[in-house]
Amino acid sequence: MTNPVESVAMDSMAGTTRAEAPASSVIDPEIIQHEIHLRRRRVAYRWMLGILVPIALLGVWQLADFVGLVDKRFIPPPTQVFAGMWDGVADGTLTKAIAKNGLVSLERLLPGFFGGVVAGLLVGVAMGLFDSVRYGLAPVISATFPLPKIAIYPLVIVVFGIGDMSKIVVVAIGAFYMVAINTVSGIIYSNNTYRDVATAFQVPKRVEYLRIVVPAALPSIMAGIRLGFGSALIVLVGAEFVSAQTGIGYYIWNAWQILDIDAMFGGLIVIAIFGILGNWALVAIERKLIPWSRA
Amino acid sequence: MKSEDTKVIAETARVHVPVGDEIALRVEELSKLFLPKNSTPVLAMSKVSVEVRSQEVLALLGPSGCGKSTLLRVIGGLDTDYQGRVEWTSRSSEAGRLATATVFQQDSTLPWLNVSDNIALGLSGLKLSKQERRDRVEQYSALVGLEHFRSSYPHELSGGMRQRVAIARALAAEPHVLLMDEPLAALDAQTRIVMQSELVAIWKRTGSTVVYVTHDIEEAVTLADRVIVMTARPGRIKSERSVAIPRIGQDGRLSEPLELRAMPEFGQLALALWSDLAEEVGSALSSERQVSKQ
Repeated sequence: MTNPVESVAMDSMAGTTRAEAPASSVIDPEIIQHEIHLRRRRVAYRWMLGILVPIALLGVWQLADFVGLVDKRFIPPPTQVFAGMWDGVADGTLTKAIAKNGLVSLERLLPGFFGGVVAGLLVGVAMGLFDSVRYGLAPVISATFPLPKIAIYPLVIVVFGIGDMSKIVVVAIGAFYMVAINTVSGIIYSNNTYRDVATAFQVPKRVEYLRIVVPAALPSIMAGIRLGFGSALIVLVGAEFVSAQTGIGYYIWNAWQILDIDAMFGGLIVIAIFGILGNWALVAIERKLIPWSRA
Repeated sequence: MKSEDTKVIAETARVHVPVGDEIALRVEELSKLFLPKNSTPVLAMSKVSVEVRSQEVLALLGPSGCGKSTLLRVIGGLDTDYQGRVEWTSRSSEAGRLATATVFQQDSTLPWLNVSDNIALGLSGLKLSKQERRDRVEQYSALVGLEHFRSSYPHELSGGMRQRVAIARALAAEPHVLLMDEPLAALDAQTRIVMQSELVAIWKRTGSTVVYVTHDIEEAVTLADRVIVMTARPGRIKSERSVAIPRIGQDGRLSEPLELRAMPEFGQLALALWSDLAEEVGSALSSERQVSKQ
């Protein structure tokens, strides 16, 4: 490319002279070092916040027990809970019980969650793309969405039996709505310009759907999947409370009934770990899929 | 068409660049009505007729809301709900060319595709071999000066570079009619001048037929062979003037936008266009005031 500003400059009219600074494309390594240093400090600060705030909350809990704000028989201080859990870990009873029940829950959670995500994506994309599907299904979706999923569980048991299948199905239902609804709105409310590009360039429909519509809705779809994961966990534990002899939900409910407070917290921690790991994995996938919207 | 009294054909008839005699595109009696849900119907355009000859650059100039963008959307197939007729001489996309391709005013690059894929997406409606597709992407990304950014993503580029990607995408489809909707409006003044000279050079090289919507008088005069001024809403054709400014200097090279602006003919035409436009801008403002009073 020629530089038009230069070629336009007419000598006879030039009233000023230019002093050109020597061009240098080499960046001072000190500046780079400084920038890296700043970034590292920012990352360290965020991690510190993520660790210090939970510790502070544990401190509040400990203090509440110390001043007698809560009943120690039901809510012992964290030091006592951790000590009790440590004993359970040391003699292997707690770890064994939690590993067994956690694994059983995971075998219900993962297939249910994936099934719900796939179904939600298919229905959501179909509703987003085709008006007739949207207007046909929207009333059904909005009528059934507000139902607590655990309230549908008895009906699911009637159809799928008392075994694992009914739990997997109800977990899938829990994830389905979040994914479907967010996918539809992601497609409908994504920037119109993207669809205009497809029309303006007579892009074939298949290419339009796969390379324009779905990627444009991806941020919203991923948000739906993360919400769906949370919803799936809630429904799973609820289902295990009511009708299971295994699983982490059963384990917590049982611990409460025999007033084994340490075991109860152990179960809660396992669910929290499921939540954290699941969310991390989904955020990692999101960053991979949506590099342009990284915060 | 000549019988329409709203049309003023400028005396300076002869267009300096060779413009084909064929009609590339004909718009007849085009009207467009918008029916907003909660307010009165708006007639955006009323019986607009335009002919575009092949290899001609036609600028549409008008106050905001005069329907010039709507006209472009109808021609580009983005708005199919209108009255009137739009005729293309070569509508079919055969021979590796699209009938039309549009450059939008706002950023229209797809953030999840890199520069090459953004350009290639515009070719997906054409029957091209892989090699031909790759060649076009390389050729047109180089044409807009982005040969070193083919694997970059839009969020890594400046606004001006993104708009060049959009321009390259439209050019790569080698459309029979290239449609541009204020493609430079979002750019800063310097980049706009650079892009104006680039566009003229590219069009001359590719022999493009262009319909160019703008609200910038100087841009219209700089780029176009013919300028149509549209009235305030409902949009009709107010005047039509040929641009008779020698775009190629004695030394045989294309004049730069600032050189053109320094010519007396440029000033005269700009002034004439402004007098056409001034009344319309005034009436557009006053009608908006009336609407807001209601």
